[in-house]
Amino acid sequence: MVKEFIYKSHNANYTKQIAKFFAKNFISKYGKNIIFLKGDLGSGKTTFVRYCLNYLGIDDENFEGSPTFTIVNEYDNDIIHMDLYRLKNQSEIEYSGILDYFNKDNGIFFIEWPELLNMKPSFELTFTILNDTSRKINVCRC
Amino acid sequence: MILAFDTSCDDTSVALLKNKNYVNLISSQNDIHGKFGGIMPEYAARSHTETIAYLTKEALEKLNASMSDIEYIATTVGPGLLPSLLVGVSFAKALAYSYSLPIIPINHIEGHIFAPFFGKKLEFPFMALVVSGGHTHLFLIEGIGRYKIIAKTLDDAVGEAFDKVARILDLGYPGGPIIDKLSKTGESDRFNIPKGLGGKKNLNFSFSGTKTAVKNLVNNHSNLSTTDKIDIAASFQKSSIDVLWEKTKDACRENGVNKIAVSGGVSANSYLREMFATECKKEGFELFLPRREMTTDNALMIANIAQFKKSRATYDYFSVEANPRLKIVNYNR
Repeated sequence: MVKEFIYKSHNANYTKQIAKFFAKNFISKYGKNIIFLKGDLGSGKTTFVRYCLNYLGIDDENFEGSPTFTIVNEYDNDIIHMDLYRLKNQSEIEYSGILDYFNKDNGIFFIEWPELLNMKPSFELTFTILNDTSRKINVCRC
Repeated sequence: MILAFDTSCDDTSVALLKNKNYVNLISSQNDIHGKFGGIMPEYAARSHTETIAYLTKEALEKLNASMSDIEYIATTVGPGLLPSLLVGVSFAKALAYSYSLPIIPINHIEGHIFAPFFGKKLEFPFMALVVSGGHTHLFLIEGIGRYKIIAKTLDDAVGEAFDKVARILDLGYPGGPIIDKLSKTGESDRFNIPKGLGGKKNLNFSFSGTKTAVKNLVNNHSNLSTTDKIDIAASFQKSSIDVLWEKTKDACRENGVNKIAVSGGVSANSYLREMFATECKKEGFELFLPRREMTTDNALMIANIAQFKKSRATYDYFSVEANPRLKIVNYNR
């Protein structure tokens, strides 16, 4: 099985196609999908999740936006969009209570800024800014 | 007298309100660190648990009141982070049960929407712009419980963009107040920061591209001076606040509304306050802004809206539940 895919996107529309392909072919309908999204501010993590959710049946009207401040945005069908950007260390993760969300056998977890999380993801996506409009997206099956 | 709680996100807040008498305590703004023998974690549900009883006691003392003066307990039940919400909701239920008091469950966003009218007479209909770290929403408000979502952000909230831009420019935290302050000396016309979904017919907002535009500026210019950074911050602030105004104005015109109520943390921004006031005057709109202590998350705004929702007070404590996904439901005309 190929473990790593590298995409270069030069516009939002192409990123949308990549996200759709990822959601369609890589995310499993059963079991637990833990998807880490890494990359600098403005590299396109939230936008990528938004496009994945669009494919999974959550249109823009129902998309709750970036979870940076809310930390967790929950959707139907056990879809969770998390962002640990504001959590600074292990004890903040622990006391925030977000680990409880993982006590499930299935679900789709999109996690931005996952560096502090001690768990093995199903996929790790890394976003790199190439220039003002282009991004490299590295998809790694873990 | 209403006793109100809000623990929807980072802050623990407790308020008491009776007629014009009130007290509004917010954990991040009160000097309570000493009482716990250390600095409180910036973010922790544990701190809600540790703080809420202490703040309640202090609030009662400040108004020279006791639990026997309380007629209603109001609490935020959502939306927010579940572990945080649970602290406020559980504490409210426990107190209500012990003292046989009715609970008024409140939607946190509803609290923000009505905060600008605190101490004033409610006037309908109005356009509510809720702008904070987690929200950038426009609602048409036709009465208590009669709400319609007009627009929202498709990605970052405007307050989040302020914080992230401050981080990108290395200006410090919290970004909102810092950018507000620095921008006063900056040249807001020097850099062209695009307005998210600006000029489009769509009333929805987008601030992700605005943030990325700042990121690109920083990536493409090495050795930015402090003056450059301040000018970028000022240009970003102008672009973001201007687009908030343009869309709010369009929403008012489209819906035949001439009153605007701005709330949430970003409503403390001084450029927003001045600019909205000037423009509203030109358009013949009436502007309502919350007092500064009611801009960020606070329990006084929960007590404030609870005054108008006494008919929703219940002794069926089991029906009062934390709901992280609580929505403002569209009212059908």
